[in-house]
Parts: sequence; C-alpha cells; structure tokens
Amino acid sequence: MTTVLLFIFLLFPSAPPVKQEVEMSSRRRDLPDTSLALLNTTLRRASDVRYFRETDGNSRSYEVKFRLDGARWSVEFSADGELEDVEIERSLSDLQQATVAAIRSSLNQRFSRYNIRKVQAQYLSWPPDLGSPTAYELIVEGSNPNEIGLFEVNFDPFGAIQSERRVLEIPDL
Amino acid sequence: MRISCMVLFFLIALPLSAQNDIKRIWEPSITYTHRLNDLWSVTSQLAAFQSPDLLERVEGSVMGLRRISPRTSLGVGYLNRQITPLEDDTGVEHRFILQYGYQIPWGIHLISHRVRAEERIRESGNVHRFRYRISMRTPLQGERLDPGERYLLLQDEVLGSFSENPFTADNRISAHLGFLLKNRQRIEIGIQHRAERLFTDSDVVNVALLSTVWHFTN
Repeated sequence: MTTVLLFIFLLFPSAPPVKQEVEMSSRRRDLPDTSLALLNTTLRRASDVRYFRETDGNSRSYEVKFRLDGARWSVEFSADGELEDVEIERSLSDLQQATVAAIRSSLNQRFSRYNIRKVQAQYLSWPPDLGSPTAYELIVEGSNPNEIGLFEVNFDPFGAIQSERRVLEIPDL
Repeated sequence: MRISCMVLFFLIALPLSAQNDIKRIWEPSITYTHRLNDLWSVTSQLAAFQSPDLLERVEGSVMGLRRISPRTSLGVGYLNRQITPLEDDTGVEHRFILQYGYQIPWGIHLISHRVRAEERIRESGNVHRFRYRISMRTPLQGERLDPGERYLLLQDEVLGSFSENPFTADNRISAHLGFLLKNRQRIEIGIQHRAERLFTDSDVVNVALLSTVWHFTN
C-alpha cells in the first residue's frame, strides 16, 4: 500500500505558479512623506492604525489601515506616495436600497447560493466623497452546481458586476 | 491577537522541553492534494513515527473530499499503518475514515472544525474511534494569508475510543509555524503534546511530538 501511495505522489505534477501578492507589516516612517501628509489630520482621530507594504512581484504599494467613526478604512498609496484608492468597510444596510437590490440581483444571476462576507466601498479621491463611491468590492462565498469558492467581486456604483477573481483558499489538512 | 498566539505557542513548547519522563517523537510527513475540480479533491499522505531509537510506524493514507458548500466538506479515507516495520515483530493496521469539516472566518483568523469517525482494524481487534479537532490559523504578515507568507496554526484534538474496554481518550494540543510558499506548497513545523490513555486506571502517557509537514498541491 505504501508503495502505491508513493507512486501516486510521484505521478502528480508540481503546482503551477499563482499571483504573487504579499502584504507585510510596515512602519510609519517607511511610508512616503506625501502619503502621511495627506492622512495626517485624519489619523489623529483614528484608532488601530496599522501600516502595510504590499508587493506583487512587479510593483510596490503602501497601505494604511485604521478605524474611524466605527468603520474600517484602508488607504492605498503608490511607492511614490500618490493616492491609489480608499476603501471603507460597510454593511449592506449602509448602501442605498436600489444599489443593494442591484447587487443582490447580480449575485443571484451569478451564483445559485451565496453569502456576502465583506463589503467595501471604494473611492479614488481624498477626502472621499462618502455619498458617491466609485465602486464596491465584495468578498462572496459562492456556489453553483459545479463551482464552489471564495470570490472577490467588483461592482460599479449602480450594482452591476465589473470584474471578479478567485480568492486563494488554503484548506486545512 | 498574534502576540497571544505566539505566547500560546511557547506555553506549549516550554513545559514539553522541561519534562524528563515524556516520550519524544519526530513525525515527518509529506502530503499531496490533487484538486480534481471545485467540488472534489484527493489528499494522500505518507508519514513516519520516529522515536530516538525506534521507527515505531510508517503509514500511508488517501482521503477523498467532497466540498458541500464554501465552508463545509465531507471526506472518506483509508489509512494503512505498518507498525515497527524494521523490527522482527511487525504489525499492520487498516483504518477506514469518515470526516466532516467546517471552516468559519473570524477576523483575520480561520477557525476549522473537523469531526472524524474511524474504524481501526488490528490483529488485536477492531476499535471504533471518534475525533474532534478545532484549529485556528492566523497569518503572521498582513491581514490575509498570501503566497510567500508565514502563518501560525493552533490545534486541539480530542479522541475517544468507545469500543475499547475501558473507554479511553487522548488529547492532542499543538502549535505549528507554517510557510506558504510562492508555488502554494506549504511547510509546517509544529510541536504537539499528547496526553494518552486518559480516563483509565493506568498512568497518563505524555508524548512530545515534533512534526514536520511538507504539503504540495496542484
């Protein structure tokens, strides 16, 4: 039996490469000065402030995460300190009813069953115009008869799906 | 929370290093998970159980898993264990396994529950055993686990052999440091404390186990 199992091990090919995106904790002083200057006033009112450095093999960016007014904020900057986007975690009930209805309709068409794990409203300017997000990013547990997984689904401000990608899942042994 | 996890890691490790009457084991293993599609996967494993002066056992197993939902799975498996394979007095055990798994995210942590029912077929007789394991995996860099990052895995498993007379149970608590490599292979180095033969008249057997796991997937 052991010999058979060893044969099975050798039979299977090695794993293909995947997108290499690494988020590492960073220090405040490592961030570009322009990014800190932009957030300076806001961070005085924020709590649980954390700094991250993210690389995906080709590019590097910085992210500042904090809590403000009960919500989780994430502000991303390029390596030279230019604002890339602002993401604020929301619950569906914070969104306009028409948008929620459109998002649910889109998800109902995409999945036979789904569960929304996380909702983030995205903004491209600072300070963000909280009433006018440019997009929504949802983390969704979704399933169809032949498909089960965790998905990052991006919606436009009106609730139509713009893009999606699989989220890497690492099962326990 | 990450600091709490690290403290727990050392709380498990330090008492193990201090005890003299404890049995010490190294358990190297290699596993391969072949994903057939989103729903089905097969995991095979080879493992050894090495004490300082004896190769106590070598085992191979195959487990077929069916994902029922994004959080739940069912599995059926078979394990073959060769007992003291390098000695004159060897033995063999066949084991059939049924498994239910449930995962739930908790902030940056992933909490996993696993329930197993096993039938162990040995020369000395058959034993039915039930196991429950809870584990928590925490990324050590950033808020999610990405390729190239480290993670901490804390586990506790209780095992009860109901068809043994008298009833006996084990508890296994462990902490593992894992590395998710960029090709999605994983390496885990862990320490485990096993308290065996609980609820019996005989003394509890304490085992300190160092586990090294190399896991790869397609």
